[in-house]
Amino acid sequence: MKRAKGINPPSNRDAIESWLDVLVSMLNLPSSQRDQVRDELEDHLRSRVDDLLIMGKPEPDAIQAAIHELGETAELAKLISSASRTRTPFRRFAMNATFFVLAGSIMTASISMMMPTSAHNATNTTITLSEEAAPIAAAAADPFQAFTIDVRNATFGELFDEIEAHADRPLIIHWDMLEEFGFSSDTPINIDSNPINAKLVFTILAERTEQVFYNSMAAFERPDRIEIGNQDQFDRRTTVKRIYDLSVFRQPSPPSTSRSSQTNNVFTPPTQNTVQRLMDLMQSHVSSRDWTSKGGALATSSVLNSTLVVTAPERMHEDIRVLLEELKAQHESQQREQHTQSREALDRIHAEYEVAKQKYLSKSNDYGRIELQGQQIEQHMEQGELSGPEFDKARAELGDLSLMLKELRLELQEQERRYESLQALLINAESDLIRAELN
Amino acid sequence: MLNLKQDHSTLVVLSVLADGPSYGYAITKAIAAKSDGHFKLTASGMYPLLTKLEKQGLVTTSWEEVKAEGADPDASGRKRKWYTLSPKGRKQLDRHIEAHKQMQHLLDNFLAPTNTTPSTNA
Repeated sequence: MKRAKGINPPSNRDAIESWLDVLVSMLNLPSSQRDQVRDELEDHLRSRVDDLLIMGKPEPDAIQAAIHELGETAELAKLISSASRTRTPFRRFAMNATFFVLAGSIMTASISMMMPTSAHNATNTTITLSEEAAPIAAAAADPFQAFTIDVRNATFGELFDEIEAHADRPLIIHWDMLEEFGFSSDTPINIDSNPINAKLVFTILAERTEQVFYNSMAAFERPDRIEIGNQDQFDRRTTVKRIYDLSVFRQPSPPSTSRSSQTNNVFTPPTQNTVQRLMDLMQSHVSSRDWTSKGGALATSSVLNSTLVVTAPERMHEDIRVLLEELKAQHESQQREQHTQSREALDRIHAEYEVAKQKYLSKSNDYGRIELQGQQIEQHMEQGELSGPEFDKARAELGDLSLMLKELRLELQEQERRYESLQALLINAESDLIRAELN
Repeated sequence: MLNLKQDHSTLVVLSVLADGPSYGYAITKAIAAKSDGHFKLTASGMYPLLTKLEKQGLVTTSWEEVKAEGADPDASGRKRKWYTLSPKGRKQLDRHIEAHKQMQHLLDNFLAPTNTTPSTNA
């Protein structure tokens, strides 16, 4: 953006000076910060006056209009004072929760309970956090679900007292963490609503803090206690490195077709492409904005062969674990389906094998019987036991038998090949199935 | 004229600063200009917001002394506070934009005409 030029000197503008004097006197800030606020607002006012003068407004009117546009002086001073606190950005900004409502009307801040959350939906992971896989509490014992509270008159201290009264574990309130949001024991909750469920109160407060501070009020549930504080600090405290074995996402080997394949593995490890896709899936569906690869600052991941290494807060690990379990269940379901199909194919091969085997045995018998018949005829002929017509007839029969035998031999060889082939397929298929079941 | 909500204010201010460094009054003008005058971020909304962005490290600031053309070179001018989008602010803006796109996509799914009329077989 091009820097402004043509600025009028600050002459004859006592109204601006006077207004700034009043505003600065209302600022609850150190003098150095008051001077900076004054300088910045003076620049704003005089820039605006310059523009209005260019548009043809008389100077007194331009000054009046510029000051009027800045809004009510006391409110502006209060907002700026709150926002300008040095140590933490909004320590005082939210010191009194009523300020949220005030800010809502003045700053038109979107922190009302009706405001939809942004793409980062914190409610799933902010309210119920579990450090361990063990179930935290039955619904009846859920301290956030168990009661309603009149939020219009209650303070944070009263809210937490109520939660503690309904909880099955001690409640630890980290007021130092909540101070970042300006919440103290006597701060009114100030949600304009009829008595509502405590869990909803907590959700609203988490969303409010998330939207204003990019950090949210959070409950950290452990088997022996519940801690209330802010998400960033809980995340930092629980960030750990975990290794996930993805070898379960193996793929079946190509179907066995020969005896040599009996030595092959039934499954091959997941390909790098599969592992990469799993990692992408994880980063898209688990706290997506927190991955360093997506511009976040909380979680990193890398892959090595079939292993996924993730450094992230515990709440993300829990979500990753659930996601991988669901994917694994899906994968296993597909494999069971493939197993069923293999079993059906094996049964078909076995039936074909039995038919070929019977056919082979039958032809083999036929072959033996005809061969014996031919040998007997030859014997009769050699011994001169047959007369002329009988000899001719026997010779013709022998010729037919020889031809039949030749055809039978070819047919038998064909059946034998098919039998051996099916036998090999059968052995491989059974072997594959056994190993699949063992796996 | 629509008053900007805070979530939108952050998005709008960061996106203005994505075009280059700017200062308070220029930011209000840029918002009005870019929205054809439909969006208004008041001073009481903007300056606390800018302070918040600065504290969060989403913007960096610097001061400049500005003087009128033809003014006495020895005379002091008035001070102007400039805001520059930081790398962290750029990432935050990208996240806002992505969230906005996702929301828009979702809404489009509701608003897009659907062919749900059952076919009639005469």
